[in-house]
Amino acid sequence: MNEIPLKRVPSGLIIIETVVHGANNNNSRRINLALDTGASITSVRSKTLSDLKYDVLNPKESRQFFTGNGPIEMKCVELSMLQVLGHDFKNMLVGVFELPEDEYIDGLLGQDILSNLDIVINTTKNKILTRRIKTQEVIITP
Amino acid sequence: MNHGNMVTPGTERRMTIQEMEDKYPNQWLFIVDCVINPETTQLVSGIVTVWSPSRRDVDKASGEYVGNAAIHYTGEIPKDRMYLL
Repeated sequence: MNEIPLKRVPSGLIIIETVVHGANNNNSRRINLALDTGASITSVRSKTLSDLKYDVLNPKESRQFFTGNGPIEMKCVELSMLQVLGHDFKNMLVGVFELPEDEYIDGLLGQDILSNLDIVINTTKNKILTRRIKTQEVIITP
Repeated sequence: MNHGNMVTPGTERRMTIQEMEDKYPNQWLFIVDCVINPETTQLVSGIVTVWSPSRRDVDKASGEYVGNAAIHYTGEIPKDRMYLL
């Protein structure tokens, strides 16, 4: 299993370092996603995606998601690759997240990734243990 | 308008995250040529090219850069910043 040191923000969220690749393989950004078991889909800050030359203004699709404040429509783009917790995920559809420019978190790590992993969060030892259990991503259908 | 502090060309050097945090406390950093640990996907080292107390400045650098890079904040996230996701 991969063993990763546990990182949190002071208010308790678990932060996961993630590398998002652009359509061009020579372009990537390492970002911080909040681990969110209540999110169906991973979402990434709009600015990061536009830096990586994804068309966030005219994405191929948008989907409806249900939040505590009611349904929202979220744009989605397909990433060439996302690397997280020592695992690679190709052709992932992610949500385009609009966040304030001074935000510390760059998005959410959702169940589309987490459901591919055996994941143990050990808060006593401050570690996350992961093992890949699927080779295909879960496809979220509307 | 402040566009951040740029490392003088020719003086850039590779640093670990700990070295960056020691040298640039409470700053947003734009880091290029990143070395990522493949077992953890965590940033090991890189070369700082821009630093600023404002994220806006490093976001600007990111928008102008094509390559492998990271944005990293070396300060403490405010304790009263709460999230409901």
